[in-house]
Amino acid sequence: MEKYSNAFKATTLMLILSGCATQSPTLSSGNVEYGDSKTVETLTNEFGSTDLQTIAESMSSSLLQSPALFGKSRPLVTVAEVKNRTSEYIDTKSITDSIRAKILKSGMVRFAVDTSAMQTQVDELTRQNQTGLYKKSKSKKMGNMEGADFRIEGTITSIVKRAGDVKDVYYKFSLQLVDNESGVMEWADEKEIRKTSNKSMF
Amino acid sequence: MNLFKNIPLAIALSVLCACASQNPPPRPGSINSKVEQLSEMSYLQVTDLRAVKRNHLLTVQAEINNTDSDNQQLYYRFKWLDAAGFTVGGEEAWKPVLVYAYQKQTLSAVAPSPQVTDFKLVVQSPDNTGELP
Repeated sequence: MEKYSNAFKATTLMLILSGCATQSPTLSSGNVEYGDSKTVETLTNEFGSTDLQTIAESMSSSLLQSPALFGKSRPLVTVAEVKNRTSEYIDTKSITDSIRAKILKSGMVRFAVDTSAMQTQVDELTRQNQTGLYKKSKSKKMGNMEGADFRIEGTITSIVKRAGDVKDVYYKFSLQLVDNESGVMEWADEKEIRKTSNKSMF
Repeated sequence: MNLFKNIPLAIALSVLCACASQNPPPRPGSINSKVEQLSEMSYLQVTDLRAVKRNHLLTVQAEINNTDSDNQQLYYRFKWLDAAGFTVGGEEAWKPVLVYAYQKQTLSAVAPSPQVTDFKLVVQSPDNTGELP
């Protein structure tokens, strides 16, 4: 009888303890975990997330201080191409997207559709105006698009050097703001990054 | 019975001891009130911090002093706050900076929006005492 009593006590205690344990809302194999997307990433010395983020922050804060932008009331800007002149594949659109998002968040600038999004814009206007599916009074009219006051364009270049086990990579990201009407370059800035890796174990 | 009588006294003493071991809060307006260290840095110090509004945007400049004879790595980012104390513009990326031996390095940053009225500088150095400030 005492044997059953002890088993009952042990089971009750286990149930109470399992009830106290905190249950995380996760389903995991134990091999995957979330990290900090803003961390300094130095896994290799190729172009990485930290480079993209620091370039975007540096360029957007510098651009917001440009007299050409804060002198006008919410000027209209468009993003032209940033040419990749490095030896590696870099998605420059991703860099300009980050810069544009940061500048837009400031509320000081508006952005017009860029060349890559123009076909979508034309398709939407065509759908609203030429398919006969929309009320004329409710459809957005053709011929009302606004031309951008300025365009942003730039280049990213790199210099790679190797000496024995040491590899040195230097990136230079250059960005310019050009007045679309006059062709005058109103602002330009650069962000430089140096990364050095050493394969030597000793 | 005497043992139970002494329990309130023991709790009061432990609370007092816990209070005594904590550092006093930084004075408002001092550098320490604007700097968050992720564990106390051994060789790097924030020696100067100034902020001014330029073109509607808060511009901040911080001076970092390396007191060591070796180069030191610093990781930093700014937290931007509005008048109500809410963060503005999301989290910044951590940025690496190399501070040469005995060098004073200047960090500068511009707030992402005109709504920003206050900031915190968050710093971390791999060489630190391992104690939270």
